[in-house]
Amino acid sequence: MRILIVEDEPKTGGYLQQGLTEAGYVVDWVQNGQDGLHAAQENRYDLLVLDVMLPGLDGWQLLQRLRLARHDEPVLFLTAKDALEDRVRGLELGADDYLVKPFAFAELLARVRTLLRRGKQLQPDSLHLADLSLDVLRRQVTRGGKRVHLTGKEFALLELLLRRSGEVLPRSLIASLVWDMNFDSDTNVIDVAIRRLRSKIDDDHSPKLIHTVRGMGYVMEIRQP
Amino acid sequence: MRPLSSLTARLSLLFGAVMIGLWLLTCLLFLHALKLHFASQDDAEIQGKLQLTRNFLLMQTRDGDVDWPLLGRQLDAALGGHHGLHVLIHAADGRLLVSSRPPHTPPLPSHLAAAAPLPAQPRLWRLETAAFRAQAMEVTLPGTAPGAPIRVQLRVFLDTSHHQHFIRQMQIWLVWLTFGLALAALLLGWLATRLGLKPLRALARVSASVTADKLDQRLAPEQLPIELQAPVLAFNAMLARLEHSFRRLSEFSSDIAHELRTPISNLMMQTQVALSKERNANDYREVLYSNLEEYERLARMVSDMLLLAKSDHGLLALQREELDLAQELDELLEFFEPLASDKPLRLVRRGQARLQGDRLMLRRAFSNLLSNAIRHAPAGSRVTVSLTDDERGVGVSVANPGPPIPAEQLPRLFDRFYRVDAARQHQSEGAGLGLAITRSIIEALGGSLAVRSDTHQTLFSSRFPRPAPGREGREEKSA
Repeated sequence: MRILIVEDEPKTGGYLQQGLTEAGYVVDWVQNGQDGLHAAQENRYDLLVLDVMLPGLDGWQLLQRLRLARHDEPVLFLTAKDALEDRVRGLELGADDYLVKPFAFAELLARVRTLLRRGKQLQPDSLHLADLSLDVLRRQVTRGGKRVHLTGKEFALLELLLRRSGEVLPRSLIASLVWDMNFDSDTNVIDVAIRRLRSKIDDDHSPKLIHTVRGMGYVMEIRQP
Repeated sequence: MRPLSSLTARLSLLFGAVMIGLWLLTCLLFLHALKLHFASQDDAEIQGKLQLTRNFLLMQTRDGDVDWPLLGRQLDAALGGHHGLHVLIHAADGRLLVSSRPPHTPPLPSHLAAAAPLPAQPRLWRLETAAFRAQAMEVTLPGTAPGAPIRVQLRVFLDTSHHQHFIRQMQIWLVWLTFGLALAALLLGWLATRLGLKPLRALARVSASVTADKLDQRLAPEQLPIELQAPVLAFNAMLARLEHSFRRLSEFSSDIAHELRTPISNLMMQTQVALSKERNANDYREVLYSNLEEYERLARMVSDMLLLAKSDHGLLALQREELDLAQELDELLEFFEPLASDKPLRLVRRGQARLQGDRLMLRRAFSNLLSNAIRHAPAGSRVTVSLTDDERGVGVSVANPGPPIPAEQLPRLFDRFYRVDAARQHQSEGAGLGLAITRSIIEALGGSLAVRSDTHQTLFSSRFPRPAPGREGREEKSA
């Protein structure tokens, strides 16, 4: 998957490129709007990460031009301004998502993954990992053949982790997707919820599936000891 | 004509114009009165002379016959001393019978002499050198045979030149006087206006001396004239508001700087210590993780402060949608459920309410209150959310038992960066902005937030009064 980053701030751009490359993507990075427009038109990218404040051609104009030229790759905007009008404007112009600086890299990564995933695969009705099974329609969970009883939110949490297994999910994303809490809420709650989930589906089983990635979030995957 | 932009100029010109106007009116009246006076004086004299002449004439008439030359000499003698008096007697056919004038006086110009003023009507002639006023009288001589009366016309001409001269002199004097007075009036008007407008200049001076760091100036309204008191009071009030806003702003800025210092200096120190000698990868990782936590706290702080700054300036763009508060709060309680049951605590929601508000913001506001309540409620107790909805408005309150907040701290609870215990445990507490944000959001939505705390419970209650009918939902500026 190819990603184009258009960001004029050198440290931000550098780290973004490094982080996304290490996450397995092919990343190109340009530092102004004009170069960005050129690059996007020359090459085929699967996702564009655009800073709004750019010298010369700014992020808005770049996006407009691309959309007019029938480029419909998903676009993720980065900005330090989070006025509602800016967000609405971005979305109206055809951006797919919007992140306000400062953001956690894990957040960016999760959203990048979401954008790249869209329209790509159907959501399966049952999810499996090791001996954990989750039946979405019947809302049932079993581990090691035994049924596990979860509350509604616990189920939603497990479903999220399972669907995006292998991805580190930041706490803020979990809060947003499971509880619809879209601000910097008290993320202790997430920790406690994860702990409870673990106690129900991980503690008495092997291998451990829910892992804490320090400073980033949580991930559900099988890890070789 | 462009309206005059100077009050002083306007007032002094107005004053001057009025004074000159009145003066001119007075002058005109005076001159008119003078003319009338002279005229009546002259007329009286002429009348008198006409009578005199008639008497002489009658005395001289015997049997319808008059010794005209004798009459002439008599008249000369009688009228000699009178300055400028001409008497003419004409027969009915126009023959000049008698002509009398003072000695050393030139005769009347012929056209004057021949002209015929009507009886009982004075006439005026103005010549280059003189002015005359004249009247006529018809006399019927007695003693003539009936059927053939002899009629003669007496005419008296009075030289009124000196009067005219006098009036003209007066006019010239008055014109000069008018000019002089005009100048004086303008000057005095200007002086008076300047004096009267002195308070305005004082106001201007005080205004000029007000700068961002000297906002404590005020004008003393008691010393001012009544008309200026209202604007001055408004001016003082405006200064007070500005001062208040500025102070808040500068306090906010210095608060921010202050609060950012500690985490930033922690970060620097940690990093410097880590770099001070060679360490193994694990240790570096630890430092990075620790730094990361600090960064996240800073990011949250910055984002919170931005929210507060926006709400201070009424820039919180608030959506308005109809919210079922029971449902909203139930979702919030569900979110906190893991935390609560950990303690354990029971979370209860009572009542129903509907509110026009911004969903995201209200969630944030109430979530702060709930988070605090859960943190401070002792294990095994209950946190209660109560909703009320009546004709006065909507109420949302969060109550938790637990140690009371000391009374002296209650008013400062909503201050930015205020933490109840000064020890500041950085691990669990945020930046101390939670309640400030909560209050800002509630106030921006038109509500109010209050706190009560005693040994029984701590209660945070918010009220959203019902808007007056006819008023559409508008963004309210927060205090």
